[in-house]
Amino acid sequence: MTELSIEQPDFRRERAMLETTWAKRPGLLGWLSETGHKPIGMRYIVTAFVFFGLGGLEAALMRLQLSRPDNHFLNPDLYNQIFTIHGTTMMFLFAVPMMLGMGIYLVPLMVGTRNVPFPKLNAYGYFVYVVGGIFLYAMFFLGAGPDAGWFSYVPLSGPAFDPGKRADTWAQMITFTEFSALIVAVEIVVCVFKQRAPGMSLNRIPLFVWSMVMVSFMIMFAMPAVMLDSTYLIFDRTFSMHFFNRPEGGDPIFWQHMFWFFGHPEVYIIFIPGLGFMSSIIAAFAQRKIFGYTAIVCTLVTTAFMGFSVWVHHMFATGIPQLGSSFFTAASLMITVPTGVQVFCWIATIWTGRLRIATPMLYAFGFFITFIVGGLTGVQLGSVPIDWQVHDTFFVVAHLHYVLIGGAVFPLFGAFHFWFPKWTGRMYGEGLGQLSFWLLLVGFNVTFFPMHILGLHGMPRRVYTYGAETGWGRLNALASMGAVLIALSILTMLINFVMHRRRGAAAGPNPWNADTLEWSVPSPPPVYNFLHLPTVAGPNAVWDAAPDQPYVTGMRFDKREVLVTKTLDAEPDHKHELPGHSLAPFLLAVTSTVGLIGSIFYGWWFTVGMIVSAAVLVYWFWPKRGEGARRAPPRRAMTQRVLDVSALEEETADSRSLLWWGNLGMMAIEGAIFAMLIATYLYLRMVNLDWPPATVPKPDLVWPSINLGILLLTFIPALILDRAALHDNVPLCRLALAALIVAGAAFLIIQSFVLSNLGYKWSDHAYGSIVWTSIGYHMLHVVAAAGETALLFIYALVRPIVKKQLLDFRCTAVYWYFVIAMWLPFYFIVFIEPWLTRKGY
Amino acid sequence: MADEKRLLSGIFAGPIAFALVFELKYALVDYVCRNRAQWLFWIFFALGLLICAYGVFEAWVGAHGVRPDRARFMSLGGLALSIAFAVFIVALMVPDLFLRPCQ
Repeated sequence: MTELSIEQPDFRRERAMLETTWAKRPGLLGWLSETGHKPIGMRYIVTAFVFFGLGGLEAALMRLQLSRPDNHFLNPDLYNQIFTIHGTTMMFLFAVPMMLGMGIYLVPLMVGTRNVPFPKLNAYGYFVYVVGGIFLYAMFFLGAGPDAGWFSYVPLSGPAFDPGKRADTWAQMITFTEFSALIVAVEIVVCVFKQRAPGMSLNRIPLFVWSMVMVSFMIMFAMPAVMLDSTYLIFDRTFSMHFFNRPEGGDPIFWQHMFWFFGHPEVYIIFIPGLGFMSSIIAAFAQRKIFGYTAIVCTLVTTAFMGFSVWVHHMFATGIPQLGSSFFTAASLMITVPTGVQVFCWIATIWTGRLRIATPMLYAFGFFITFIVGGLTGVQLGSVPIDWQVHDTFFVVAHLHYVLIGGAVFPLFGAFHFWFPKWTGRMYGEGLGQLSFWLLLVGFNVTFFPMHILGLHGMPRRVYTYGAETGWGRLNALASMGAVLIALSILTMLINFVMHRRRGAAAGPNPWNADTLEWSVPSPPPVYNFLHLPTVAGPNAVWDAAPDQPYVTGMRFDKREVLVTKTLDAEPDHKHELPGHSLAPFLLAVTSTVGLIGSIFYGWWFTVGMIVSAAVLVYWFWPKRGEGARRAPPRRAMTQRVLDVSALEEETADSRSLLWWGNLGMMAIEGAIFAMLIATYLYLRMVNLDWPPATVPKPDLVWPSINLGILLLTFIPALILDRAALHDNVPLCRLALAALIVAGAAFLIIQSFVLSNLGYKWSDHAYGSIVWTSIGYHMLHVVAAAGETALLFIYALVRPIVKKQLLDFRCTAVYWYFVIAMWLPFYFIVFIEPWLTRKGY
Repeated sequence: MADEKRLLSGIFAGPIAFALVFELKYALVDYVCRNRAQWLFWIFFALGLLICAYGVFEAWVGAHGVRPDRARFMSLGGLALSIAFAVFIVALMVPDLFLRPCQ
């Protein structure tokens, strides 16, 4: 469509300019400072696939061990580590990062923009993910691999039963990988809602993009739960806190609530992108619009919401009241409805389309077969009596693999084949592709179907061996043989891709005649994605494009400029310059690694890491010389209808900007963490009759109230900063920044005093643990807000202020509002609530 | 803009109603058991349905936006989500007919 004119000689100069502007840097430094969404997305995909290989190797070792009874190929300790690392790798290092990597690569192309909104943050997310994975495996090879299962239940993973650093390794790896996922989630949400091509209103967003949006929202509200949970575990283990220590008021079941509040949405986080792949593949191979577009979007929303309402079905065996359990049974059954609707929409699409069969479509059929089996056993497991019978048996292992491999891996491998021509410009070998599919389909079912029967016969999960008298040997041997077929399938796929990566038949821009925008650019896509940003005329951008579909002109070719559009209708709003290459993300990953990994050995390493990271952040945010430089705009092509955006402003300092939205996304995540801290307090309060414990003295109200007053007063300079930045009043901004720094410092000093005079320590009881953690977490936010304010203040003194900094000022003001608001509930529960509810004060 | 707010309300009303009813019911099972207050569940049930009805109304009324195709999409979405989540709230009430909070 819009790229029809790409070969016209008129555009050579523009293309050369874009190639220079968006060029990759050579060498190792270039690799480390890369911020383009395609290289970063591809790194996620390749790295996750490497971890998939490692996880598969561990699975092979387990199958070898279980292939016959009374086998001692692996000892129990090594087996424990291997099944833990297998699950951890597949969930945290393969499945989620792989799906997010696909999103990072494809979403900007599908919505018609040049890069994600925060490229440096995106690069940082990748580095912390890699570090998390390397850390896990390094500890494993050093003999300290986690061994308490991928969900690391307490008390098994607590200090009493898991001394050493094994559980800490697991818990801190979670911090790394989830941090990375949260970053990608914000990137995708802002990219989709603010950077869509003109004309791509909400009803024209590709279904894969919708699926990534839903997944991103789920990540933003699910991942904080497991991050906080694993932090509690580290606190219990390192600082002798008592979140999960029953005698001191903690509760081991609370671990499970927090973990599964993340863990079940995690399943949807993994397989909803698979649903997106399915929609893309089926539309292309049926050569028709997806039947029931609106219905599919609604089912994605429904699944995303209901994904948070089923976590307790993992905990039926813990003694939850029957009525409470039944709510989750109901929700677990109901969540099949939206997925069923999608399956029927796809069947209708295939039924009414002109179906072609090729490898991606075969994988789509593989999805139908395996995922439906997994869904049916899921319905069974959602029922309390059946769950009690097969809990912790191989039946559950079979079910979860049918859901995750059927729901995610089959569509993913289909997606690999589907987008391979786009990534490489070459076609894969169809024969090898089909062979790999059949090997996987047969191998998968031979491996995992017998596990249903083994589970029904009572074979428990996580046992390193079993006796011959159990009669489980034959089915286990069969399952192990199936694993060989799976390995062969993956090997075949890899050989296919390696062989055809350079020598396959030329693919051209759109070998499948598919409908989304990435197929309108050459294969592989140029570094700048689109020569001219496209406009969109329908839900199937390529198919619905008019022969003279307008494209966007008036964008700068000599700057990394993207078009910011309005949220609902994607009308052009303003232009925004993205940062270029930078080493800062890599450096920050190094310094945060020092802090986070060091902290599981000695707590003060966290402080060291924070201080060094703060220095790197100054380097990160300090505006570089040359930013804002202007060159003559390029010529406009006159051969086609255009949408001229040259008159749009180049930056805004209000709520339309990308930074504003990114800021909101981050605050939503932090708000979720604050909410979970409050939930922790309320939960612990509910399970403890003696709350606060009798040994806790009356909270002093004077200094905390004075401090609350100070924090509330910071609202005034924050408001002044906000308004002054909006009206371009720099002197007043400086004044407000100075006032915020003083107020923030005063608050921190008094809060430290309050903390030291509470009369109890974090290690005295669970009450102390939650109070110290909550206050400490809020103080960290005040430190961050004050630090950011100080940086901006210094900048405002030494450098001229442009619109970009005014926006920074406004975002800082909003962050102060957030910090103020977040303290109010904590002030109430820590200092007021004990006076209201505790007798004897 | 007013229509857009209506359309957004229509989309979010159902899911939010369901989330509220669901989480509140689960969190308060112990309280309801201790205080024999199962009537609370019926209040949540009615409240949830009311919010869903509000969602249906907003989605229906807001369908006259400036961009008909997008407005229609959001309106249909709002209607479908509000009705679906109303059904889910009804389904969530079924266990209350057979089980007691203290069981």
